[in-house]
Order: sequence, then structure tokens, then C-alpha cells
Amino acid sequence: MKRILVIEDDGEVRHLLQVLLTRAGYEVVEAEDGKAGIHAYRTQPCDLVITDLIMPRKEGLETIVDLRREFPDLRVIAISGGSRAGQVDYLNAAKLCGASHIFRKPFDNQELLASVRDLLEQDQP
Amino acid sequence: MSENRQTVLTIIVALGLFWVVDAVVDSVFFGAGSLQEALFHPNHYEQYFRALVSLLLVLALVFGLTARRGRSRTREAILRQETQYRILVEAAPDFILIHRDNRILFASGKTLVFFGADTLAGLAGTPVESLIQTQDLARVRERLATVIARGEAAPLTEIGITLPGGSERDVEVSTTLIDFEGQPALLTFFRDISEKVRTRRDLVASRERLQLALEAARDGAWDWDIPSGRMVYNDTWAAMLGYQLEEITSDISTWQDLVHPDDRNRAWSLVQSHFRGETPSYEVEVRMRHKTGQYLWILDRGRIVERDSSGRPLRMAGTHRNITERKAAEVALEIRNRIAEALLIESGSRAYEEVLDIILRETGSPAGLLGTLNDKGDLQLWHRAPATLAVNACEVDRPVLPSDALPAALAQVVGEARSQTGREDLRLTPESPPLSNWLAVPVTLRGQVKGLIVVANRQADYSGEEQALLESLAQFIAPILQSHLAGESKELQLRQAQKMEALGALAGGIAHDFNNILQAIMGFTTLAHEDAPEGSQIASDLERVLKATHRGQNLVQRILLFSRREEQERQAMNIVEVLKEAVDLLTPSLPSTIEIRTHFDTDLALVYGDPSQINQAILNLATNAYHAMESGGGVLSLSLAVSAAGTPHPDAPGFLRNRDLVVLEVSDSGRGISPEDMARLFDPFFTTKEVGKGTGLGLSIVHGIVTAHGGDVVIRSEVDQGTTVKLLLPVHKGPVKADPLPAKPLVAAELDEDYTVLFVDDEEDIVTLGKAMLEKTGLTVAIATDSQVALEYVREDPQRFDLVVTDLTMPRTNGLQLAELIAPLAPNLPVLLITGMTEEVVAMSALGSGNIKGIIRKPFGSEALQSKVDSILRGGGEGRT
Repeated sequence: MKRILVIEDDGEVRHLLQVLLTRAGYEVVEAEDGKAGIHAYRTQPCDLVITDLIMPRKEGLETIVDLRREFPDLRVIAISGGSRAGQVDYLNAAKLCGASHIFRKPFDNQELLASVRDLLEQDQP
Repeated sequence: MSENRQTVLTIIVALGLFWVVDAVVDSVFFGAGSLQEALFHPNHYEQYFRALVSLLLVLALVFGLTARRGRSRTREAILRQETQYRILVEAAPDFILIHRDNRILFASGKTLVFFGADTLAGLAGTPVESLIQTQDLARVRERLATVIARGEAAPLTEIGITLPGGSERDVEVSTTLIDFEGQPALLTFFRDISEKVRTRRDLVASRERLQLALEAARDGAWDWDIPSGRMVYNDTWAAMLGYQLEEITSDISTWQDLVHPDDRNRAWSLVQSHFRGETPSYEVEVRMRHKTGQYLWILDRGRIVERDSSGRPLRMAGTHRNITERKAAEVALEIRNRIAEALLIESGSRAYEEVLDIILRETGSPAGLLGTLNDKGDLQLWHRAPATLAVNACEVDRPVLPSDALPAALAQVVGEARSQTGREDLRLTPESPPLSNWLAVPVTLRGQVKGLIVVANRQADYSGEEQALLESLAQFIAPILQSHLAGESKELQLRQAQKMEALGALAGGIAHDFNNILQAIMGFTTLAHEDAPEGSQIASDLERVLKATHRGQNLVQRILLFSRREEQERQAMNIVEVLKEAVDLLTPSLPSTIEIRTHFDTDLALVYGDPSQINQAILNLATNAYHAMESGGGVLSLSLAVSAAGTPHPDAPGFLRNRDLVVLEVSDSGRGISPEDMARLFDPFFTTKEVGKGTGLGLSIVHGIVTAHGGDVVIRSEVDQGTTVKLLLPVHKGPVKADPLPAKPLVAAELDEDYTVLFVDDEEDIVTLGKAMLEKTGLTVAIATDSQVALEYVREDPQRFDLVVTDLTMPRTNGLQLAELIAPLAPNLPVLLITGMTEEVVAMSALGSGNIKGIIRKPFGSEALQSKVDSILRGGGEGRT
């Protein structure tokens, strides 16, 4: 069973992703910020990471950069509800940092699942 | 040897046996009838005694022989082992010491040689601590205590030792706890690394020397013999203060005389605390009197180079550096900040009194004035006339000096728009006390003299630097004085930008949180909908929830559009085409009671920016116009004109005055805007429309879009007459294709090659990378790995660069400070700030104010950097094409 790490500080959204992905037949590991996410990935490597971008303690871009430095083959989907500071489009930045797909919140369940499937199928020979 | 011993032993044993047998034979055969008789017969006592001794002797010998054999075997094994250990110990590359309770017990042969001892006896018993240099003693004690307490080996460390002969060495030591002769002892391995350490120190020292040599070239030097007070100064030291070396006395008193009296005590107390060893060196910024009488700012640094045996300082040496320019920039910036603060906090004439007060205090002037000139040339003072300058006998609020009463010298300053100093008395009125020794600076805006700043009545002459400072302050307050003349409230102008910024951030924050909420609602509703039976009531209810969620999503997108100011897809576009598209969109959606009129002066007007955003701005304005005319109908006119730089558009703000502008007008004949609403027009969420008709974001979005395009919005309105909104946008002057304009916007053209960018980062790798990235686009790139050096470059030739790209985090002067220091040197030079992730908030606060025109995050890709630089050079490179 493919394992997906969900990093998201908003409890409701995290829960939504957990339910959505579990129903779709994936194992879900949850983390509430980038720091916890990196720790979780080190203890239990996953096939895919879905991360929010604006989070307390360790935000998403930094998390993506740090994770990809350590695990270069890592695949990431970035999600974000907007840009709090206004000046930078975090989602475009996430792409530059190596996210394979980006989603603006609120995203569509099916579109997200399609992109998850798409990324995980790249593993199949 | 052992064989000989065995032979001797055998002989002795044989003799002993002989004696026993002899005794027995004697007793049995020659004296007594039986052995018993022979044994106890008195005549045989002697023989008996002899036999007993012999027996004992034999027994002793046999026992001795056996024991000796065993011992000899153990001894051989030990000897073998000892030889092996000795080989190991002596062959080991490290020195070896065994010690206990601070006394040396054992040292390897090599170690003995190292310590200059001939034998172990020469070294044994020596206190270990006597070898260790004082500065490392505490550390070593602690390490050894830990080794003893924990039984663990102490890891490698470097310490300094002093050999019994007195020479000093650096060694690398490790210590472990062992058993030595049945008791715990410490085994220490060490290695002489003196060479390595010396090389390392030399390297550091040579770097420091190089640094010193580089600096010394422009620094003055001093060398002070403290007991005698004699001071040796060099040529540069003297020249810096305007003297020949021969002109000054080689004495500490020269320095004391030239230091500004207000700085002398501070500097002296820093010298004293360095004397007492409280500071590793002496460093102070002081004012020093130049031969001309004016004061320079000097960075005075030094260090004691010699002390006597009791620690009293004997000699101190150091340098002088002229930091006047840097200080001047700092001071100017600081004064500007204070003036801005005064203008924001105080209102009415109090604000100008405060500003004048700051200027008088900074220049040490007892008198002065600050005023604006009206069309007739009358000087209106924006502060109450101070008693010393009383224009009339009684003080009046905001006195006016008629143009014909203006003293000739001041009239000349106004006429020539040039600063002037004078010693002759100036009287504003026949009764008022004279201004003597004055400096008058014109306040000019768009080449016209709008006001006057005068400082006066100081003893010392006003210097060129002070004139420059006042001129820069005049430049700073010019637009504010101007807005007073135009009757506009300065608070409105100054605070509007901040208000937009704050509300933008707030709206962005709300949007972010709201999207999370929407996400949960939308996501779970979708899940529930999937579970609901098809065609059921639940399914249909959930569809309504989803619909409502989508509406919420759209609203949040609008809020985000307002708050987001990230770089969009920017390109050169023909704004006429954009406007035509908008009209096509509008025509079918407006009722027939509203007539649309269009008037375009030209078919081609290029603007660099995002066509979809401009389109959005036009639609927002048209929607507002429609709402204003909804009840009775009317005319909606859209027009476009180009205003050339030569004849500035009357509504153009200062920063657009020398630009060719596209003026896009949207007018209606509707109900107009009341004066009280006028002030709040751009406030986000401010609306006069009924519920459901407007969010209060339309104009805020227009304002945001136009400002992001380097333009401005001007609104004119009269109640019941209608409203005109003008968007002023700078014309793009990139290369244009000669063929008819394509319907689609032009692709961004290559940058012209004559742009020069200064790239600053303290990390050399990043500088190299940035240079390579930018040179690819045909830019000329200069680099600096030190912000001070970068500042020097700009100071040397303020016109040389078109953009400064700088890292935020750098030692000494960071990117923000650098930008601030650059501003007065090259007011039109834009700065792009490179930030790390966590510094962004700091950087954000700097954006939009001053010369920082963009922020790029680390790590940046080549495309991101190029496009940022490209957009700043196109949008902000005033006067360049």
C-alpha cells in the first residue's frame, strides 16, 4: 500500500486529506507542521508528500527544500490558501522548489486524487 | 647460567644425602645394636645433629630449586611482554606519559628526549601541571577530573605546554584511565602540533596584515608613547585634518585639542577602560576639528602594543579613518525620519514648527524660517513666527511676507533657485531683529521654487556639507509643502499608502484562513455527496452547499486579487487593444439607457504590465460608473490619450512628472461622490452601494493594479454632475515591431544592453552565480561581496548603476541599511532585495517605501532573477529605455 505524508497545520483540512486519501486506498501519515513532517518522513519514508505552505514553526517551502535535499527523489504536491504576506506567490515558488503539482485551496477532491494517482503511477514499471 | 646453578645444586644435594647416609651407617653399624639405639645413644648426638642439619639443608635446597624454576618461567614471559610493550611504546608516533596525582610516573624514551630528560628518574615526580600553560590549566584539570570520575577517555584537544627548558609547544592530547602497578593512573598520549598551529596562526595573521595594509592606505596612523605623552602621527593623519605634518606638535595634546569638546570625555574614558584591560581594543567615533574649522567624523581605533612588567600600558598605536560622508548620510536619514514622523504626528502649523525646530537644532542655529511661496511670490510662513523673527509687533499665526517685502538676497535665492549663504544682515520687517550669517535653501518641485528654508544667526559659518544636508531635506519636504499649497491634507497622502499596505496584509490573512475553512466545507461536502443516494434530497441539499461554497471561493479570490501583488505575467501590451476588448465585453451587458462613448487619441499606446489586470481595472471602473447611473441612465465615456513628458500632465504626481504617460479616462454622468466619501474611496470594503451590489473592493483593486504598474489613479467628481477616474500609466518604450499590432500582446523584448547592475552578497558563490545569470540577458554586472564596498561604488559614480541587487543578511551593513544609505546618494536607483525564507517579513515592511522595488527569495532560479530584474528595469528605470 502506498504511503502518503500529509503536512498541514489546519486540523480540518488535514482530516479531510486523511479521509480522502484513506478512502482512495492509501496509507496516510499526518504531521502538523514542517518540522514534524520532516521527522515523520525520516522515521517512515513515504511515496508522496502533500504539504501546505503557510504553517507555523517550519513553513512549506523550507520543508520542501529541506526534504528534497535529503531525499532527492521525493515527490511533492503543494497546497495553499493564499499568500499571507502578499508579495510572493508561494505556490509558484513551491514549483521552483521542486513541487510536482500545486493546488490552490479550496481544491477539488477528484482533481487532487487524480494528481496523486498520476504521481504514484510513475513508480510502476 | 641456569645450567651451572643446577650443577651446583646437584652437588649440594648429593653431599647432603651422603651426610645423612653416613650418619645412619655410623649409628647402625658402629655404635648401637639397633637404629633406635644408634639414634638415641648419647655418643651419637653429634652425628645425629649433623644428619639433621644435612636433612634440613637438602630439603631447603630441593624446595628452593623448584621455586626458582617456576619464577624463572614467569620472569621470561614478563620479559617477553615487556620487550613487546617497549617496542610499541617507543615506536608509537605519539609521546606517552603515565601520571597520577599530578606526578609523572612513566614516560616513553621519546617523551624523555622531548622533555630534555636523560633518564626517567630525571622526569619522574615532575608535577604535570607545571608543564601546562596557564590559559589551558583550568580546562585540563576539568578534563582529567572527568576522566577519573567517569573512567572514559577524554577526546583529542589542543593545549599549550611549556617544556622544562622554557620553550613553548602546542600539543594535541588525549587521556585515558589505566591500571598502573596495581593502582589507577592516567595515560596521556600527545603529539607536537606546534608547526601546524604556527602555520595556521601565520595564515590568520597574514590575512589580518593584508587587511590592515589595505586599510592603512587611506587611514591616518598614530603611535603613542604613554608615559611621556609623545605621539607620532603620520602624514595621512595630519592631512586628513588639513595640516602638514610639520604644523602639528607630536604630542597627545594635539589630539586632545582637535577632538570636539563634547566627544573628548567619551573617547578618553574608552581609552581608560582599554588601559584597564576591560576592552580588547579601543574604538570610538569622534568629531575632530579640521584646519578650516569644520568638524569631520573620525573613526579612531587603537590597541596597546606594550605594557611594563606590572601591566601598566607603555605604548598604544592606532588609526584614524574619515567617516564623515557615512555619518552625513546617516544623519540625513535620521533627520528625514524625524521630519516624516513630525509631519505624521503633528497637524497644522505645529507640524511645521516641529520641522523647523528639528532643522534649527541640527544646524545649531538660533533663528530660521520655513515657508511656501504663492503665485504672487508672497512668502507664507507655515509656523508661528518665533519672537526673534516677529514679522509684526505681535505674534501672528502663519504670518505672510508680501513679495515686495522679501529681502533682496532671499528674492535672489528664489529667482535663481540656488542656495546661498551670507553675512550681511537681513531684516524681514524694519522692526524685526536681523538675520546675520544665514544660509537660505530653496524648496523646489518640478523645477519651480515652492518655498524657502532659512537658518541663521549662528557664530560659525555654514559649511558646504550643511548646505547639502539642508538641500536634501528641502527635496524631501517639497512634495508635502506642495500638497499644502494645493489645499490637500498631507495626512491623507502620507497615510493612504500605509493604510492600503496594512489592509492589504489583513485581507490577505483573512483570505488565507478563509480558504482553509472553505476547503474543509467543500471537501467534506463532496465526500458526503458521494455517499448520498443519487437523486435523494440529501444529495440535492449538498449540491446547494457546494454551490454556496463556490460563491465563497470567488469572493475570496477577489480579496486575494486585492491583496496579492506578486509579479504577474508582464509584457509589453497595446493598451488600446485592451480597452477595446473591455468595451466589447461591456456593451452587451449594459442596459440601453446607458450610452457608451469612446475616444482614443491613438491606436497604439504601449504599457508594460499584465493585460488581464488592466482589463479587470477597466471593468471595475465601468461597473462603478454603471451603478452611479443605474437609476436615470446616462453616458459612460472611455477615452485614451498620451501625455508627453515635455508637458507634464496636470494631475501627474511627482514620480510621474518626467514620464510619457498613457491617460485612460472612465467618466460617467451619474450621481457623483460626496466630499466626505471622497476621502475613503480607496479604502478596502468601503462602499456606498446597497447590500449585494458591491463588496467595497472595486476601487481598491483598481488602485492596487495601477500602483503595481507604476502609475497613479486620479478621481474628480461633483455631486449630481458625474465622476471621472483617470488612470495614469507610464508609457513603455521598448522596441516595437513595425508591422500592424497583433491582437495579442507583444512578447517581452530583450533588455537593452546598456543597463548596469550591481550585485551584492557576502557569499562569493552567490555573487558569481548571480553575475552569470544576469550577464546571460546582456546586462553589465558589477559585483561586491561587502556592502561597504558596494556603497563606495555608488558614491563614486551614482549614475553608473541602473539597479542594485543585494542580499538582506550581510555582516555590518545589511541589505536594508545599504538601500537606505544608497537612497540619498542615488535617489532614482532601485534596489532588489534577496531574502531567505524567514527574513521575508522584515523585507516586506521595506517594500513599497523608498527605493526597494522588489524582493526575491533564496534560493532563486535564473529565470526568476532575470524576470525580477527585467521588470524593475522596465518599470522603474526612470528616464531610461
